[in-house]
Amino acid sequence: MDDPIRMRKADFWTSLIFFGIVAGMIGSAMTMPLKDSFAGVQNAWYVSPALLPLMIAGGLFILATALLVNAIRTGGARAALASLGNWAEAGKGATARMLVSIAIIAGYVYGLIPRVDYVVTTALFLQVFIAAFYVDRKEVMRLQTAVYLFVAIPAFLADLVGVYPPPGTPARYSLDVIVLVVLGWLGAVTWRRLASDADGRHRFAVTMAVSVTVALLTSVSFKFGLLVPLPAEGPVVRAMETVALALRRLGA
Amino acid sequence: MDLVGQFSIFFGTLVALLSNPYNWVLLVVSMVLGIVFGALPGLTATLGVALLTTLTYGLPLSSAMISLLAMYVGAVYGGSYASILINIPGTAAAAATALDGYPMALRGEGGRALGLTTTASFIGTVLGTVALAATAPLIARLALQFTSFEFFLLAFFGIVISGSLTANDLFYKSWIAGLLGLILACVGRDNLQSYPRFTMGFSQIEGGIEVVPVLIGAFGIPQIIKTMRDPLRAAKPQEVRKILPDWGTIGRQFKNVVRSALIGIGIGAVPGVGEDVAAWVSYGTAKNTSRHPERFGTGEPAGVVACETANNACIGGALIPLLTLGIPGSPPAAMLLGALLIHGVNPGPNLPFERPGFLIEVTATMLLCSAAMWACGMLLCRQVIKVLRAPSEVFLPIVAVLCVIGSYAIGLNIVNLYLMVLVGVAAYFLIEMEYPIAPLVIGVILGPMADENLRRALMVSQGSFLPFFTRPVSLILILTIVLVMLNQVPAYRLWQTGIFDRLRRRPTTAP
Repeated sequence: MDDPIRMRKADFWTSLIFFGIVAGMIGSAMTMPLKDSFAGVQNAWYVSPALLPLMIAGGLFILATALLVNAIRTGGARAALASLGNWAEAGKGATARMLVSIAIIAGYVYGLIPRVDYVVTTALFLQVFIAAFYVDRKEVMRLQTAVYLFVAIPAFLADLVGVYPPPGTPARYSLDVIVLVVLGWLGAVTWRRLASDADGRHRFAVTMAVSVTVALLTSVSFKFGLLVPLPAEGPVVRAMETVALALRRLGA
Repeated sequence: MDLVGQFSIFFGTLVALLSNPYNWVLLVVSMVLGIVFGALPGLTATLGVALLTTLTYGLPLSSAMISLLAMYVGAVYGGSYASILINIPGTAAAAATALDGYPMALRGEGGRALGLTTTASFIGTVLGTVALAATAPLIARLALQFTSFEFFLLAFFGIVISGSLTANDLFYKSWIAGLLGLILACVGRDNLQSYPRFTMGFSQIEGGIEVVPVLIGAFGIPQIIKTMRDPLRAAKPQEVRKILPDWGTIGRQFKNVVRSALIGIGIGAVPGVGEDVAAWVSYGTAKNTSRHPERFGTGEPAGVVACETANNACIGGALIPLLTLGIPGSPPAAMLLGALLIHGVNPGPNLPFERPGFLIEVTATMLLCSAAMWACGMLLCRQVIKVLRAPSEVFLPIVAVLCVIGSYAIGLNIVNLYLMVLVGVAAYFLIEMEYPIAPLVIGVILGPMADENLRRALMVSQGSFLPFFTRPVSLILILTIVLVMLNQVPAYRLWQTGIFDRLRRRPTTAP
C-alpha cells in the first residue's frame, strides 16, 4: 500500500474496527469481578481479571482516536466514505488473487478439513490452490475455485446448523466419496479444457502429481510416523490403514 | 562452577550429541532444508522453524533443538543464495546482500560471493554463540533479582521496543499491534482467579490461545497470501563456477567482520528486531566506515561480508533474551520459544535451575549447526541452487498444508486451525497497512507474563503504583520505556534535533 491516501482510507476503517473492539472489551470486562467477590474470594480492584483488559482498552481507545483524527485530517476519511460501495477493484488482478487465496485457505480450514477425509480434502485443496495460480489461466482459476467453494461452503453451513452426518456413519462416508468423485471430475474437466494448451496441460499434470503425492505423504507421515490421528478419517485413510496392517502382517 | 568445569561440560555435551548417529542425520537434513527454505523466495526462517516445530514435537528435546536451530541457522544463511544468483532476496535478512552479491555474480564471481557469504555466516554464527555463552548466565543471574514489578515492566518493554525499529508508517501502529497481541493473550481463564475472559462461551479456548498456531498464522499465512498474490517468477540463476571459502578476503576484512558481528549480536538481543535490520545496519556502517564507499553497490566483497556476518550473528544475539528472560529477540526466536514451550522448557531466569545443562547444550548445538552450515554450504551449494527454479505457486500451497496439519498435530484441536487462519488473515491485512507484526506476536507471548505480574505486584503493594518508581531496576525500565516511546514520536525527535543543532552551533557563534 504505497499510496498514502489509500493507507489513510484503510486507517479510517481500521480505527472504527478498533473502536468496536474497545467497546466489546469494556462491555465484557464490566461483567468480570471488579471489587465484588468471586468464587468465595473478596476481590480488590488491583487483582481483578478485568484490570489488564481495561488498561488495554484504554490504550487502544487513545491510539484508535489518533488514527481516526489523522485519517480525517489527511482526507482519508472523506476518500473512504466516497468509495463506499465501490467493489470494482475487488475483481481485479492482485486483489482478486488475494481474495481467491484467502477463500481457498478458509474453505480448507473451516469447510473441509474438519469433515472430509484428510487425503481427499488435501488433494482437492492442493489441486485447486496450485492450479488456480500455477496454470495461470483465468478460466481454470474460476472453474477450480467455484467448484471448490461449492463443496466447502455447504459442508461448513451443514455442520453449523447441525445436519452434517457424524463421523463413522455411512452418510459421512458417502459424502467423502462424493468429494472424491468431485476431485476426479474437476481434474478431468480441467484437463479437457486445456486440450489446446500444451504448456497448460504440462503445468496441470505437475499440479495433479504434486497434490496427490503431498496428500498421501503428509497423511502417512503424520498418521503412521508421528502417530497423530488425522482431523477427519474417511474411506481413503481407512484404506491406508488396511494396507499398513497388511504390510505389517507380511513383515511379521 | 569454574571455567574449566564449564568447558568440560561443554565438550562432554558436544561428544554426547555427536555420538548419536541419528543426530548427525537430523543435523544435515535440517540444515539442507533450512538452506532450501532460506534460498526459496517466499519462504522464511520463521516459517521454516514453525513447520519444524510441528514436526519435531515428538522428538527428544536435544534432537528437536538440533533440528530447529539447524533450520534457523541454515535459513538465515540460505537467503543469500537467491540474493546473489537471481537478485531476489530469499529472506528479508539477505536483502542487503543482493546489493553487492548480485553485481559480483554478474561479473562471474558468483562462486566467490557464495564462498564469502558461507564463511562470513559461519564466523557470524560462531561469534553470536560465543556472545550467548558469555552473557546469558550473567543476564540470567541479574534477572533473578527481578520481582513482579520488573517482570511486568520487562514484558511491556519487550512489546514497546519490538515495534520501535520496525514501524514504517505512523509510529503508533507498532503500539496498536502490541495491544492487539495483548488482547489475544487475555483470551481464556486468567492465571490468578481462573476467570474466563473473552471466551464467548467456547470451552475450547478457556485454556487460552495456543501460541504456536497463532505464530504460524501470523507469520505463515500472510507470507502465503502475499506470495500467491504477487508470485515470484522463477528466474535463471547466474552461473557459479568454483566455490571457495576465500579466507584471504575474510582476513583482510577482520575489522569489518568483528564490527558486523557485534552489530548483529546487539540488534539480535533487542526483542522482536530481526536479522534483516541487523544486515541493513551493518551494511550501512561498513559503507560509512569504508575508505571506498563509492564501491558499495557495485560488487564490493566488504558489503557481502558485513551483511552475512551480522545476520547470522543476530541468531546468537536473539537467543540471549529468549533464554534468559523469556523474551524472543527475533521472529524466528519467537517461533523457537513456542517450540521450547511445547517441549516443557520455560525460558527465563529460572532456566539454569530447572534445566542446568540446557544453556550449554544450546551453545554446543549452535556450534554444530555453524559447522554443518559451512560444510553443507561448501559441498552442497551447487545442488541447492537448482531449487531456485522451483515456482512459488507450487511450493507455497504445500507449505499451507504443512501449516494446517502441523498446527492441528500440536494440540489435536481443530479450534487451533480456526484461530490460525483468523489470525493469519488479520495479520495479512495489518501488514498491508504497515502494522509491524513482531509487537503483536510478542504481545501474545508476553501477555500472560504482563497480566500475572502486574496484578501480583499490585497485590504486594496493596494497590500502590509507588514501588514501580522506588525500585531502582524498575525505575530504569520505566525511563527506558518512556525514552523508547518518546524516540518514536516525530515531534520529540524534531525537538531533540533542534537542541543538538543549537548545541553544535554554539561554539562557532561564540565570540
